[in-house]
Amino acid sequence: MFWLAAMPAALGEADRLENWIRQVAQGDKEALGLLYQQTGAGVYGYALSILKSRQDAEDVQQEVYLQVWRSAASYSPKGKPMAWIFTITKNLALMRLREQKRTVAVSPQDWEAAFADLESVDREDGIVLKELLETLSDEERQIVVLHAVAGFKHREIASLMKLGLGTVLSKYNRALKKLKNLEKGEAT
Amino acid sequence: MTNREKEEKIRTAVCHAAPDQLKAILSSCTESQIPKAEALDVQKERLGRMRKKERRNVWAAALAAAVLLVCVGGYSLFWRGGVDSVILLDVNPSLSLSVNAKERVLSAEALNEDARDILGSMDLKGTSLEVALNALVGSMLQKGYLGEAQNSILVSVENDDAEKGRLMQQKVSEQIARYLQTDSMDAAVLSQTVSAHDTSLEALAKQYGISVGKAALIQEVVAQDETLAYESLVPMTINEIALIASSRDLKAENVVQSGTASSQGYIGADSALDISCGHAGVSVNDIYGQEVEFDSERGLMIYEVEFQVGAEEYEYHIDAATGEVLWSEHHPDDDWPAGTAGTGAGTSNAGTGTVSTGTGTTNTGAGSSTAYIGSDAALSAAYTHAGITDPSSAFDVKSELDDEHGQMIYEVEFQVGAEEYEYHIDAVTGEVLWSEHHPDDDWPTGAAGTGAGTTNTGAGVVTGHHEEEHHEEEHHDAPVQPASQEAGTGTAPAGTSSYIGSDAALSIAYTHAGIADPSAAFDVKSQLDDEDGRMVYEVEFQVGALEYDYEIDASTGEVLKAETDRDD
Repeated sequence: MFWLAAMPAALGEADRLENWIRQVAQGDKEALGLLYQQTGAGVYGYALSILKSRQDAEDVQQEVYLQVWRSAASYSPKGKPMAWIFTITKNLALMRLREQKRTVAVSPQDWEAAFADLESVDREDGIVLKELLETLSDEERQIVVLHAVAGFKHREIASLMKLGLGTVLSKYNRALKKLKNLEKGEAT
Repeated sequence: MTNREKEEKIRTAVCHAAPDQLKAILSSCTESQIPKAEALDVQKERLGRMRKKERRNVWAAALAAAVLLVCVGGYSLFWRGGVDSVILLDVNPSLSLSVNAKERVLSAEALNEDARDILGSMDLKGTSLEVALNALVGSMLQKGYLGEAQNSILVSVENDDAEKGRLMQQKVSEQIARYLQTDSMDAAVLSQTVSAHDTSLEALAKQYGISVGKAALIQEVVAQDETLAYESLVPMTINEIALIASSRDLKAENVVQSGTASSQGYIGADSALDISCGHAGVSVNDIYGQEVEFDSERGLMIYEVEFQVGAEEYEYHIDAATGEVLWSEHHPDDDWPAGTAGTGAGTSNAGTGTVSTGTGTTNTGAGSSTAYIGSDAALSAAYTHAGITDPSSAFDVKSELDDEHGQMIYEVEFQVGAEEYEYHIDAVTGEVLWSEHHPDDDWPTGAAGTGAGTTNTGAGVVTGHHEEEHHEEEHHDAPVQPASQEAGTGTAPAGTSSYIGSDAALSIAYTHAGIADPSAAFDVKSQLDDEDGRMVYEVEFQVGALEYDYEIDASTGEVLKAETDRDD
């Protein structure tokens, strides 16, 4: 069909993910591995953008895929596998956030050094992560990560975060502008 | 750095920071998986809890209905009471099948003229649902309502029990898909459950003379894309609606789709892009950021084409069936860095041989906010600016929120008489950022005035920023209008001179046709026309399955011609 040419990745991907979820429902661990490889970074990024804690985000990422494993059979294929996975992520992250609030206030992180121990994170990555976590508001950060890392469209983000499309668009634009302004500041 | 480059950096950084926990995850996935049956039970239980209260209301309603039916007649009570599910089928023919718990057909009803054609003399009462579905789908294939170019069908199921409704939805759609698939064509089956108690949906269906199922589908699609108008999807077939939705990557929450809607009847996105580039005089190799989506315009399928060449953004509307350029526009991109764009603005309209003159762009950047004035307020701002005192004289009205390179605006369009107006209204402040009006190209020859359109009327309200960007000169090969018909000034509704106006002509036709509720009419057209030297309004509209065609004397309001026709 003609419109496949316009968005090959989006469509094919949803089908592919749904197939994997179906296979996971039948106990196929390999399919879970494929799901993880395809969506793991986005899930982690989204959890990190909600929780602002590296350790908590890692824990939530793990919980998400265990939850996917357990409840794949209850997934009803509506062409929105990403929305399903990220709704799980959102709920688990928010649950943890509430638990955190009940215990202790999280001390402000030194984001400059937070990822320094990871070989895969180079200096530029470190700066980008620091800017993302320090400069943006919670909603702005979540929107940017969902769009840039997980590949959600703005209207999908609006539906996941229960915000208006206009709100998402303007917050997204404002966030990108903030980040770009920072960069200009660094350059001079 | 562009947004895309910035996004890429963010993506890379997060991917590099993300842990690899797959081993740990897989080793935790032991026997803890919830089997399918149990998962369904959990879902059912949850649904049951949620619906308990709802169901009590349903029972109360059913009891009330039964009492009412006893008053109406025992027979009705007898068979209404046996209805378990109502299954609505929409292609363009719209049919409704009521079945009992044993899946026997209690009644089959045609909801529009095409459906009467399908049902013909078939008597489906008492047959099994499966037989009835095969007969109906077979008839649609045979009569050409379903085929390779129109391969989509919508199944909507009404059942008070949500779970039963869902199962019925699945069963019916699978059966139809199987049936159509064996006919060596790739069918698209869309399916959903609809509530029999959704009065707002019923009102919508009634207003537009469509089935509740189609009303629900359009509602879902429109809810996901603010740029789509409900009315514009009403006259479209399920295949066309499905195409529009999929070309925009919309997935309706409650609608399940198997298969792909056919785009065989259309020229294709690539051809639409080629045609647009050809019209713009640019090479396909030089463009970027291109996007081609389906939309509908006055019942026609069109391609909305957008692309950019250097600092210039182009927009095209291409007739999807013929490839004709219906509308085009180009203007400098706001995001293009200041000083790099030398050549500039200018719009061109299809086939009018437009010349554009250039101005440079400036890039002041636009702020954004979350509080918007709303499409109605934007429309009134445009009316005020245009000097339209009577909003009812405007037709083909559109007011839509749009993201203009980071600045949220309302794109407002309307037509008054032969004049088309276009506005960009700041979505936050309500300020008129840009405006333009010009005679409608489609306006009948001889009925429109000298076609000099004006741009940026009402100086003082136009911001410097946008004034520079949109400083456009237009030359339309517009048809010649008599002196009595205003043009260019755009401050008065059509026909304030010696003609009664298109609205008055329309209400004369409604009165003549005995239409008490004008909101029941759709596909409404009222246009001034020169009929062998006599100025008339050609009025057309449709109510239910009936098409009305009128000619009203433009000066006296006399009904010169009145015809009705079944829409088939």
